[in-house]
Amino acid sequence: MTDSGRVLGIVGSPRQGGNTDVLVQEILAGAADAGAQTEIVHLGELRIGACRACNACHETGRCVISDDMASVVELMTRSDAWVLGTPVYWWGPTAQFKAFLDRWYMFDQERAIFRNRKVAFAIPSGGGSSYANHTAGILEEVAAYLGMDHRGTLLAGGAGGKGAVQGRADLMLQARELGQAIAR
Amino acid sequence: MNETPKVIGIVASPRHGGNTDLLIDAMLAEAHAAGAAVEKIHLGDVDLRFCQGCERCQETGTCVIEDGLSQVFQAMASSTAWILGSPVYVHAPTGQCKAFIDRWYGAGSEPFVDKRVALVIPFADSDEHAGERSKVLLEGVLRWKRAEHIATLLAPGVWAPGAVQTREDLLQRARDVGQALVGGS
Repeated sequence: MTDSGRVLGIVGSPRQGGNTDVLVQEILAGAADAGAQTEIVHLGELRIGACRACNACHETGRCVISDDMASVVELMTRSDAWVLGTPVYWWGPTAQFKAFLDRWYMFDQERAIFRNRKVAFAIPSGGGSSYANHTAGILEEVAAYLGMDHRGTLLAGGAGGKGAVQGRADLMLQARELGQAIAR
Repeated sequence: MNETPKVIGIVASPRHGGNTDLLIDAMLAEAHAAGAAVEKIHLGDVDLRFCQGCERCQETGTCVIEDGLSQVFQAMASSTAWILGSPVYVHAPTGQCKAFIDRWYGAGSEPFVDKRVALVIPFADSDEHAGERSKVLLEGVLRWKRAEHIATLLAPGVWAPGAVQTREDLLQRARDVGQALVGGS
């Protein structure tokens, strides 16, 4: 298999080397196993401001905010699949991830960027599964609403300390397999 | 209760004069009429940075970030009640609202414990269910922070900025919530 396309990982945790980062990288490694080209961005390293609800994008097709979102959009556009990772902060994705998600509104008129785009989610959490399920619910509803091709969600509950998930062979294996599934 | 009631309205919509703002205005006007001092804060106007996940606050009790939020937390701590309003963006509270809430992790207990709190959640969909994810998330955090949750006003079917002005049903419910934030206990 030589043409498994391009897979983009987007890490919505502010931490580098944390559980979200580790899991997204492992998913990408699985995709690479299956022949995909991979790349990764960390939202915490970028400047992505919150949507201002000015609606200018719906008139002009362009967002008025000039920040790092444009470069992420470029990566998103050229990728066949997206691996979106966020830890659970208070029942939901991180603020960094939510600000990024709100900016998707700029595509709302012309949703071609989403339609049938392959997507997988990685959601580590320190606490119980109800928090993670709620976060997964939000993201999976968004994927369904936008007509995306959802390939799977990796919930990694009880992933307490920073990078602790590396010691969880079960989760690392699931991540690897999800990466292979998304590249197919 | 001898303390003069003070109600803070916190607008987590980026819009001034939008539906979230107007519903909070209706709540605050009623609270004011019932004898409370009132104040309104637009999070979009506050220098508000994202939680960095450094966990320092869990060791020292203080957040390492110095920005406009400390004044917001002070206002909440000095109040008897506060309102948090966020429209539904992409099935959840706005990015501004989530940035605010993530920072509650390092905000201590004074802004929250025993404060009477109301939520207001406007959204375009006419089905109340579209506000459910936001409601569960926000009410969950309030429980965790041990605030006294008084009410959640779900406001479906409001899309255009200011559309709520012609929705007397929602405005009346907002007034009732404003009353409840001051009355009782």
